[in-house]
Amino acid sequence: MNDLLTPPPEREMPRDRLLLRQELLMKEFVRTRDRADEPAPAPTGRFIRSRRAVALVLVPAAFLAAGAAYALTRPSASQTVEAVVCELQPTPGSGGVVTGASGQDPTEVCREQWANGNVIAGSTEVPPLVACAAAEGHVILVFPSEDTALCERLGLPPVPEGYRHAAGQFAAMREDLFQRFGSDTRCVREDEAVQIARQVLDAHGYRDWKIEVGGGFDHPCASYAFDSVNKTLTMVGDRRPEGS
Amino acid sequence: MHDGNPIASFGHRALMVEPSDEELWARATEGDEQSFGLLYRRHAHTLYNFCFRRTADWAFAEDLTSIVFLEAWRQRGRVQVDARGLLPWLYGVATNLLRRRVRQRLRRDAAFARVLPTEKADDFSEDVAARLDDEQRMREILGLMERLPLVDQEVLVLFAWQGLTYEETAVALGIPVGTVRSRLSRARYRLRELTTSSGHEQGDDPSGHTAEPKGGST
Repeated sequence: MNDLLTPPPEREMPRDRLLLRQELLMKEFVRTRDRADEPAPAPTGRFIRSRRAVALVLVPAAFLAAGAAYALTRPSASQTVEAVVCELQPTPGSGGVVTGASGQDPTEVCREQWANGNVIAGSTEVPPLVACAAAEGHVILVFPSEDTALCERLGLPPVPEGYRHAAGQFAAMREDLFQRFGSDTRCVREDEAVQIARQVLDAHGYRDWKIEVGGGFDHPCASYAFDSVNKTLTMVGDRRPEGS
Repeated sequence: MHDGNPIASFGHRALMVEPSDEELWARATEGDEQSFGLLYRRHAHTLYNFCFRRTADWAFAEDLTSIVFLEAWRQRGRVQVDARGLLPWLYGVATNLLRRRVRQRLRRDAAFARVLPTEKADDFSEDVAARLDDEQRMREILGLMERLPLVDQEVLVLFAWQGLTYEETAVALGIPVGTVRSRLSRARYRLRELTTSSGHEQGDDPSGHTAEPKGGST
């Protein structure tokens, strides 16, 4: 490797951090080991997708910045709504469950998730829930809280008008993509995948979205990821679905 | 804990014949937490540095190292550790996570959040300046690397920087050895072009090994 491409020398992880992280991992190991009769969770853990694990919904990074203030503009009804996040605590980015937005009332979505024990393992108690918008309306965050002014306190706008229509429209497009690429019976390669994706986007009114080709096309099956903020659908190669 | 498990004497490893990754992974999947812990201690350093080289961010590399082990554990049903050990497979997990832009999900995934410290990492006070320099340098290198296709970058990093063999690289990325060779060849050619055109040509191979890489990767 010449100097231009020689990476810096290796460094040790600070010992106290190494030990702390090992301890946290061991706790998780024991926690899941003791539930060994359950099937090993999907690689994305509590990221619950509306359909089989094909589409990776990329929730905009901006929304992850806990405590960040968001513009209080009310998003228009035409915006895409990708996901409903059932937060663990009344704080953005506190962890919890992410589901694809379907047009269903977001608090109802999360009520079901809490009731099914998906937010806190072993607990089915449903707390009062408050829904706010984030990431310019692309994501709805649902917090466990009784505070009706929570959204305002967090600097988050309320759920936008027309949310259910926008979410339903986006869900229909997502479903269409799933039907084209999510089937266990057929894999679609890169060139054809891009062509099909374009047709689907156009048919559902997302003509201003662009398509990018990511990596992984040495694997035979096209998959995809959404980036609503940048109006981009990224096509990536994936392994053949298990069982096909 | 199994009776007579050599890792009961963890800390005196110089005196012990260490169990292989294959043995430790088998014990871990049977529920032996010390075996899982030993695998972490054995490979965390290598993965930490690998993750840094892919991200140019020491703090994120720390988080990612934890997530790689968590993902390995979550996917334990799919892992078949052989004599090559666990590391090529861990590299594969890390590579997949990076492809999936895991940074955005770190604090949103409940299981991820459970294995990440809640407090901010300190600033490595003794070597903070050096680490900042590392990050700047690594960003520059990655800026150049990004002009290669992602799949070529992945091969190059594993082979040239991490010292994996062709076979180990193939295992890590789940591709045939021939594909590793062809991507490496393409990457070398492209890098040579890039370094030449940027006026940095130094006459040697810009992509890493000039000889067969070392056999091990740990």
